[in-house]
Amino acid sequence: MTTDRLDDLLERLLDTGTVPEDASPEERAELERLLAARSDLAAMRAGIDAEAADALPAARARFQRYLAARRPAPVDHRLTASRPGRLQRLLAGRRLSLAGTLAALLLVAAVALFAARPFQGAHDVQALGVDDYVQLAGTVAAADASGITIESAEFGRIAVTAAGATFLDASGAVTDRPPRPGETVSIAGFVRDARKGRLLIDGQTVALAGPLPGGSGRPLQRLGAAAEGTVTLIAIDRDGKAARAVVLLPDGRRVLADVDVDSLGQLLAATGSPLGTKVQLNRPGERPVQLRPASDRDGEGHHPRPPLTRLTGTLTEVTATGLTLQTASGPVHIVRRPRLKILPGESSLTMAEIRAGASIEGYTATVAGGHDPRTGAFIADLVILGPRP
Amino acid sequence: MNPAVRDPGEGPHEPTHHRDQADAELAARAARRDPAAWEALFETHYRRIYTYLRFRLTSPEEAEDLASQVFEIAYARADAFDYRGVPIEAWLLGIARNLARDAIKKRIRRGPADALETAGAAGALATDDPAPAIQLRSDIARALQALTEDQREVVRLRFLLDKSVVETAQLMARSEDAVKNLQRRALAALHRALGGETYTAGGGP
Repeated sequence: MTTDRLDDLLERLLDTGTVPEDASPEERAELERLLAARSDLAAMRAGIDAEAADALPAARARFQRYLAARRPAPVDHRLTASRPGRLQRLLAGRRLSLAGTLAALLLVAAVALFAARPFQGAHDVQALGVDDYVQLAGTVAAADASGITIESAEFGRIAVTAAGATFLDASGAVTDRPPRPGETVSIAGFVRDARKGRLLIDGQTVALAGPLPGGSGRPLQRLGAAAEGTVTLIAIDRDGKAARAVVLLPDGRRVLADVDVDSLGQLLAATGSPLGTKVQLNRPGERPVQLRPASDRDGEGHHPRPPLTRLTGTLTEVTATGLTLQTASGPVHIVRRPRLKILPGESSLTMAEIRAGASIEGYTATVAGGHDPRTGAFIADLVILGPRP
Repeated sequence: MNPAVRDPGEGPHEPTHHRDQADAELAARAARRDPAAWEALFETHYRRIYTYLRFRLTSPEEAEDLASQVFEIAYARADAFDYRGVPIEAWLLGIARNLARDAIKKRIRRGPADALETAGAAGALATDDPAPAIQLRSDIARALQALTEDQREVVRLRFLLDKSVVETAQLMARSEDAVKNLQRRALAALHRALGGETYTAGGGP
């Protein structure tokens, strides 16, 4: 058994998948040992392949944005015409006059149409962007093995992939049962396609929810004055620098507001999920607006909220797949899924530092998610960091 | 260092005898920054670039970010890419390698926390990870410390990116026999480091 022969036998084995028939028993045993190491690599690779497939939609959207930003502007070609004759100039002047009149009429018509039609289109696009972390609620319209389709008050139908999602029952416990058509759910996940009519969310946590807040179903409108209402949607961009919220006002209108990221972070830390929470929208006319919990003066009470469990404590150990949170009642092991959203909150870290692998050990944190009664583990949906204790 | 993939886009590449006409046409369109060509390149190569980077970095977010950067850098340098038979993927892998190397250097400066190839980093990963693939990776990450850089590169190219011996030899600027020898020694060293029986057939770095 020479090394050159073993090299060739191994290559034939890798090529065909079977041990060459001319291998001696000693060579066969050696090849099987080598193949065992390769099997370990193959198992690792399967995990990485799944991650790559998961990362592809967001990366594709990022690259398309990159290409679009670098696409050269169309060149304005101007042609030089020969000087027209007297008759042509006369007709041309009339044509211009007629064209100007028509343009004015069209402009008036367009303004009237724009003022009269619902505001939906443009604001749908602005409310969600690709890669946003989003929480929203809706009624399940369809469900299959790949995911669910929900009907939301804000956007109509939204496709939600649920292959890697954690399902929570109404008590907030992890369950294997995906939601069924007709049930109301809250969704936490990442926007993969934000085009109107093709909204797609990569669901991270799908929780059975209580009855959705009502409302007239009016289209989204920009916030124009100070207001109080119930949060029905939040979205935070990939870099953690911009956030939006949809708030249902007492009169049934829904408003879309660019909200201050820090104030939303505080609300998330206080609630785990602000959906269903009554809030004040301060500083009207200024952007982003502050989002503050509102007192329940009118006795209306808060709307039902997603059954996410909220834990607070200090992160004492952080690994690629898990966190240990030291809470008042002891340490809790938290399962960290690959795409766990971690918000810097009041930690003084930036999103870029966290994404680049900065240590978050030693920081206080609020973790929202659900307990798995079968394993005792806590599966995190969202981590909001706080200052070091 | 492999001259075929080092300093991508900044110098001519050695020609090979296996020019792929379709690849050449795509490279020509890419050099003109044809968006459709770049979308095709992205669809074809993103997963493999991600896989290559993910094998070297513990953070999936960073691997995702760097994989995107590979295509952005390649697009920015498109007019400098000199296609002379070298597969486009070699060029992209070269950019990925440089980005990963820079990221790992930063880790080392900051402390051994995040690069799988940084000594001790693998040991810092949890040993009771609930996800089997991740735990297996941390085991392998530790085992990879026993390999030489050439052996690790063979493992990446042959067993993660499914490169043939010929392609691997081209990418590493080594002979095919050398690649076959490296892959056998790499698997033998991995087997030993993973706690296998004593390897007795002349393996080892």
